[in-house]
Order: sequence, then C-alpha cells, then structure tokens
Amino acid sequence: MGSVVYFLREVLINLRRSPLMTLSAITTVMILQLILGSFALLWLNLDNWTQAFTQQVQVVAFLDEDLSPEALEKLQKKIQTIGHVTQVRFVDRDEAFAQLQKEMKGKISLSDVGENPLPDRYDVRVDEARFLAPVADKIFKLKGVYKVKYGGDIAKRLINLSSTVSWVGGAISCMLVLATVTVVGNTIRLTVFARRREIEIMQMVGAARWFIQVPFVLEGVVQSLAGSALAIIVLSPGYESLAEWMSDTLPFLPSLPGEQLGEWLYPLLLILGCLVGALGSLLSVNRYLRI
Amino acid sequence: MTDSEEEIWDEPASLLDPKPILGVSTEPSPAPEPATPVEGPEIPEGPPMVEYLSVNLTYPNGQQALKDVNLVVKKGEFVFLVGSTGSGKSSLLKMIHCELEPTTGAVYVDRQDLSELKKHQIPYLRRKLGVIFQDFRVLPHKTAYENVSFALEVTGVAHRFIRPRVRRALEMVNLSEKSHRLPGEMSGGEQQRVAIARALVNEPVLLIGDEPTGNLDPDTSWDIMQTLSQINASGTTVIVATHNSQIVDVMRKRVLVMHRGTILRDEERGMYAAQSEAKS
Repeated sequence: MGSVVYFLREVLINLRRSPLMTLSAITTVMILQLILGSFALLWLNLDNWTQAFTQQVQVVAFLDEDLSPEALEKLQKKIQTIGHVTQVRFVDRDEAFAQLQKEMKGKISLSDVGENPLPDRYDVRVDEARFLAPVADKIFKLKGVYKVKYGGDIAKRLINLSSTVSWVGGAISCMLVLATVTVVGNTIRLTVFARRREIEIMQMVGAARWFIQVPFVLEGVVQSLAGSALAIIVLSPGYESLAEWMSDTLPFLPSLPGEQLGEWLYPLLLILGCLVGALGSLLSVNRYLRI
Repeated sequence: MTDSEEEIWDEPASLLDPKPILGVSTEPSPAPEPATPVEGPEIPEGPPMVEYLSVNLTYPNGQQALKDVNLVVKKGEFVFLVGSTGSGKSSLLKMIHCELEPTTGAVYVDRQDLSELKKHQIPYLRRKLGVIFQDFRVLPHKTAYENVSFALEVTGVAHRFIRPRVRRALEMVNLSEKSHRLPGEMSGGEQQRVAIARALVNEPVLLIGDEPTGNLDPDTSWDIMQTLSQINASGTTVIVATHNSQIVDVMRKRVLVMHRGTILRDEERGMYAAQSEAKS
C-alpha cells in the first residue's frame, strides 16, 4: 500500500514539475491517435462496404413488361437450371419501388415520379462472384429478359481498395505507433535525465529495478492515456457527424454506427495508448539504469 | 606501459615519501582533537566481511585498474584505504556494491560470492551496505528528513517503520534539530552527515566511504571521521578511502596503501606514509 501511495505521489510530482513537457506529450499523442483512429475508421467502413457489397452481388435480370405468370414461371425454371445459380427471387415492380424508397429513407414518393418506372425483375445469386459474368450472359439470352446488371466489377474494385487501405493503413499505423513510442519515450527521457541523480541514489540504497521503473512507466501511461482520451473525445462526435452526412449524401454506402464502434474501437485505442506509453517510458528509463 | 596507463598511475608521492600530493597537504590540519595518535581498539578477530581473491580489473580501453588484489576485511574492522588518484581505491570499493565486476578473481561480501548474484539480487545486497561519497549526493529539493526517509521508501519499508528509523539515524549524526532543513540551508559537513544518516538508516553491516571528507574543512572532516568511528564502535564494518593523512595518522586504524592497482602496504594501526619513510 505504501508503495502504491509512493508511486502515485511521484507521478503527480513529476507531471506537475514539467507541465509544458507533459502538455506537449499529451498533445502529440492526441494527434497521433487521431490519425490512427481515423485510419481505423476509414478501413473499417471500407471493409464493411466491401463485405456488404460482395454479399449482395447478384445478377439482376430486368424483365419485359406484361409477361404472363406462366412465362414468368418458365423463365424462373430456366434460370434455376443455369450452373452456379444458387437462388432466384422474383421482385415485382411495386416491391422494387418500396425497396428503393426504403434505401432513400422515404425521400422519394410515387407522386414525385408520376408512375412507378421500375420493371419486374429476378434477383439471381451465384455461388462465386467470378461466375457473375457468364451467368449474366446466359440469362440475357433468355426470352423475356431485356437487360441484365451485375456488380462484379465494382465488387472487385472495392476488394482491391479495401486491401490497399489495409496495407497502407497497417504500415501507417505501425509508423504512428513507433512515433508515439518515440514521443512518449523522449518526454520521459527528459524527466529521467532531470532525475538521474535521484535514480542513482535509489540504485545506491538498494531500490529494486522495477521500483525505479514503475513511476516513470505510470507517467508515460498517464500521458498516453490522456492523449488517447482527448483523441477519442474529438474522434467520436466527428465520426458521428461524418457518418450522418454520408448517410444523407451517399445512402447506398452504409456507415458503421458510432455506438457499435465505441464498444470496442475506442477502448482499443485507449489500451494501445497505455501499452505504447508504457513501452516508450520503459525504454527510456532503462537507458539510465546501469544495473 | 602506454601513455594512458601513465596517466592513471600517478606516482603516489606522499605514500612513498611524505611530500604533498595532488593539492592535499600532509601538514597537520589545525583543529583536530586529539592531536596525538590514539590507540585504536583491538582488531576484531571476526569472520570476513569483505574478501578479494586474486582480483584483476581491466577497463574496456585496456587499462588495468586492479592487479591481483588479495584482501580480507573482517567484520567490525575500520579500514583506511589510501593512495594517489588512479591507484585503484574507488575501483576496489565499487566492486563491493557491484558497480564494477572483476575481470578475473572473486569478491565476497558477507560470505556472498558477488559473481553469483543475479541482477535482481543486487539491490538486496546494497540494502546491507551504506555508501557515502565526497560530493554527498543528497537531493537538494528534499529536507534532511526526506533525504533519509527516501532510502527507506524506495526499498519498500512499511510506512510505520520509517519515522522512528529516520529519527534514530538523524540522532546518530546529531542532526535531529535540523531535520527539516533543505541541503542548501546546511553546511557541507551537515550535508555529509545527512548522507551518513541515509547510509545508516538501513542498518548496514558495512559502511563504505569514498573520500567522504574530500570536500570538507579539517574540523568538519574530523567530526565526520569521529562519527564513522562511533558507527564502527557499534559493530558496523567501515572502509574509508581518503587522502587526509592527518586523520589517518591520528586515528591509527588499519591502513591499506594502494599503488598502481595493487596493495602496496597493509598495516594494522598504520599511518598514511610508511613509518620508516615518515621518520626519515
């Protein structure tokens, strides 16, 4: 208990002794965590879009008007016999319009467009995205189909983009983590340097190595934690606003809800901040501990 | 011998002949009382406290600081370590608290072979030792009391034991009245006594002084040595490296003379200069 009180007292004394240094470390960690968090959010959303899109990729076969129920049934059977087709679903024009309204969050109504411009269609799922094109070709040749659409190409591009963002984001994240370790480490190194005589005496009187390290490590953790918390305070409402704007402007690109991210991304940033702060401090203090 | 070795091995002028060395006068200091040599207590016949067995120390730059040193300091002894700058006194003392390791040979402290100590065990050895230096090494922003209690706090001593132990240590060095003063408000001698109290507060079995009176005037130096002598009388082994010939000559304790990394002379109740040389 005495040690805990000693550690906390030392941390408070050190933070108070060099407020400008502490402030600069906190600000730098905040900026680094903001960049790191932004990258994480961008990558998570891109991944989300990619996943959503690849799950939804399908061949949409738009049908001629006024096909009889028998013709429709015959057409469906023909489509079902095509290789790699896993599901065929008929969507009549009213349902299609209702879907569109839902996607547009009610911003479109029948009165705006006069009459429903959408045709009846079949949504056709295939087992793998690479078979979209050949299946679409075969469906297009069937009687009663006037147009086919499939998002294979877009899906491929999204996957590529997501993968690129993962790599670039991963590399930048590593650099940011290194930068944070260095920034916190350097700040603590200045504190350690200012207290080298004290450390020397601690070693001389027989203080255990960990006992000397702990206050400095805690100091680094406090600084990183404060910087990370400030970053989250900025990042969280910033993301919420951006997500809202995205859903208004680009409703077909659904953003991940902020509350869902808050459950794990922000705690993860805090934990990462703690670890990085502790590591930076430990590396710095160890340089001054000869034995 | 290289030029750099020559620099290390300054001739220990006053040890071999009684001329002044390195600005330290061999003229009697004005104040110390008693002015005449006193008979020290009997040399204790106890178990060894410190043992050096064929110790050699070579620094990474190739300079040999200690050459085949064999030495036993018994429990309860008071030993003066004298010799010119660079003769190896500090290196010899640093090995006791594991600040230096011998290149070859072995050092035992309280029957513990130091080469067998793991890194994490070194602090526990140091808690059994008290070390004082020429430059005091007290923390300027802490009071005398805090400087002493610091040694207990950082070694994890329970809070309830700290106050009585610090008070007792400050009493031993006659600083009870000045316990709330900062080092800047104290004289050099008082600051050194704070350092002694800090060294004593862990109740060490061995007290090491690396020229503890080097920065002090003769009167204060004498006071400090008297304090160390009293500590020794209570059973603590004391080893002091010093250039103060008058104190060595007056106190008549065991004297080890170091020269170029070897022990040139080892005398019970010895003097700073060899007695035959001193007479001539």
